[in-house]
Amino acid sequence: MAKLALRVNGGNREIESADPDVPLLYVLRNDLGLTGTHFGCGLAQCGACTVLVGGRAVRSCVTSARSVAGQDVVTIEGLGSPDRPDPLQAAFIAEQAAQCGYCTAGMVMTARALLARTRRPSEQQVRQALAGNLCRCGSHARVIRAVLRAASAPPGGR
Amino acid sequence: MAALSISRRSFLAAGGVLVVGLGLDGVGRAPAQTVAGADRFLGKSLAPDAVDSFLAVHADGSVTLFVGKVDIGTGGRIAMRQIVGEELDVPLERIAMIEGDTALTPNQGATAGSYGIARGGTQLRQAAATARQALLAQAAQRLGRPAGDLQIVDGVVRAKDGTGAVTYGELIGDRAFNLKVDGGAPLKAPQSFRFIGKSLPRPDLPAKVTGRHRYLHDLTLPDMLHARVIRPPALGATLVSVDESSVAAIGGARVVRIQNFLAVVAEREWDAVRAARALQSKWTAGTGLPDSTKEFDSMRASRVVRDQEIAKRGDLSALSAPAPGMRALAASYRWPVQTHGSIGPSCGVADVRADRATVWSSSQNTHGFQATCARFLGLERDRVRVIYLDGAGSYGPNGADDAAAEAALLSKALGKPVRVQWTRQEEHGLDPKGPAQLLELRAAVDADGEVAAWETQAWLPIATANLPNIPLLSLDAAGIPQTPGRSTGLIYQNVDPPYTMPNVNAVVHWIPDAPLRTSAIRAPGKVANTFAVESFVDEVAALARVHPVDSVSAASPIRAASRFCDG
Repeated sequence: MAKLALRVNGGNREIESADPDVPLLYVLRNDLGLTGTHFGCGLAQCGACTVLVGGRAVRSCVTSARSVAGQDVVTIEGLGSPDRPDPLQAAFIAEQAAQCGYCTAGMVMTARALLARTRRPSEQQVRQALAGNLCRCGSHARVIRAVLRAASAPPGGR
Repeated sequence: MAALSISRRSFLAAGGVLVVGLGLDGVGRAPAQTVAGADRFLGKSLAPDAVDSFLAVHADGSVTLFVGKVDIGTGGRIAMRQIVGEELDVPLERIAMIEGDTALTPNQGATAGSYGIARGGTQLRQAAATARQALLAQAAQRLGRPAGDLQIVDGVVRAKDGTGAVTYGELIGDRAFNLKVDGGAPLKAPQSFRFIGKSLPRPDLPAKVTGRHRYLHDLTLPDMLHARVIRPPALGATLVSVDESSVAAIGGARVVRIQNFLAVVAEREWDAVRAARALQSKWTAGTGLPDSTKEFDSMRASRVVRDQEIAKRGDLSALSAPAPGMRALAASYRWPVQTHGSIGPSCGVADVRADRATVWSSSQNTHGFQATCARFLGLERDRVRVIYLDGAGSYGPNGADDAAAEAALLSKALGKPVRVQWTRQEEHGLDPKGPAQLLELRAAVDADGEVAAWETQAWLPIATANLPNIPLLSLDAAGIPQTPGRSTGLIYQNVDPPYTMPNVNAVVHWIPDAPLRTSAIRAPGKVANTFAVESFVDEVAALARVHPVDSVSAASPIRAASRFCDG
């Protein structure tokens, strides 16, 4: 059993795995109960499993948990809650930017990374940043509006 | 019905309340989809014509809806609340909703064909109107006033002159209405609508956007095993041998084989994934896939089971013998098979015991699937409970029923709850496909640019009448009998142009086969047919030298039909 020390959503967590190369996705979902991060393809192709590692958007399905030890991992649960959504999540709610919602966490995390490095992105930049996050229901137009809404919010809201 | 209810109660008494990992979220709030303590309603009416089947009014004035139609991401969860809130005059935040649970919700048929609101919603609406009528009558008696002197505001029945009031909770609180749905119960007039017709925020989105919404994929049960199914490398391949020692190094991994149905299970999901990758198995070569480059030629050359006339009117002679000055046009449109491609591969969880089973599925037809599960598990229907939980969005039957059936087979074999998670490759490769469609269109356009004659011919795979379920992969693999056949959805719709044309022939040639399993795929009016017909309208308009948009206006060659207005 390999022991792994992780820092997730601001807290220190320790897990054990028989396979030292276990992907971060399975640790988050099954060991830490953070099921907001979703399995979509396991191939880094769809974006449903996106989390932040050191502020960068990362596909947790192909990222070994071991490789992110010591870095700050943030999942969708680390942003806000249903009663206290963070401004980006609030923008998704305001725009009703989800249908089934399965891809949404990955969309939010990817957009969060975009807004961290580009405070006021153009629509083109939003489209570019989210090009690798697939949605099969057809929520794309609302998602783009939500990110732009969050980007146009007055600064200081976090 | 009495016998059914008793048997359901004894089922409960035997089973007790199953504790599942769907409790309150981190902030102490129930996820919008699930209702905490829903099992307290077990034993309630499920009759299709009873008010109590559809709703319950509680002592605190809150309301629980029991809805056979499920919300696959399209907003039924708020729409049903709007409909009932309107008829009952109850604020929407006081309404909880249980969906697609065969032990709790009435059978309203599959969630399909865009009929969720049109059929399911109207049933619910009439039940709510019946309940309102009954509550008003009770209040009149309680307050000693004629019903006409009363008004209902937010679940409180008040005398209009302010001399008395009684709440829904006081009138009925958690007791049964014991009423049949009254088709004559008055419905609210549209001009007084408070909720219907408004675009209201969906109650499930805050949890979905913050990662707190519990999907089927997130469900865990005590002692649950994680499974991965090993698929044959080619269609028709059968299992020759399995080398179980190939997974011996993965602690806790076990191999399950039922004839050609092969799976690995483990307590930890990643171990099941690793075992699925490591397992060595030998299969026969199988038949493989037909040549995709010849698919449409095969359809065109296929035996036709029968022709179905969709529209036939006027004189079609211009198609074969155009008058002088007429121009002819022909085009064919090939619509390949479509995967549903749900963004989360299908998942299913099942807990099968000797005398009963619970299956959690994102099936769009939990009641139909309950009957299927009962058949292959060898249980009476009322010993099987199928509970809908959200999967990734579905657009017709995807792999959901398959994954749930596989979980049930494995749970039965192992005596423990089992969760089956499909891979992306399985979902893309093995979900039932939206069928291929071939359309050939012809038109003759006269010198004035009028469509003198129009013809649509469509070659479409025929659906099997009364097919109980799309044939499931695992039952075939495990040698368990099931009804063979095909489901294709309403693929004949809109092969005829929705425009005023005097001379039209639109015919479907139903063909018997399709190369892959098929199922309905959004949208019911069929994208393929509309694409072909509208593309051809553009071609005709180009030939007639008119703009296609103008061409469907009243003053142009292709006049908009009154069909959409007339229904």
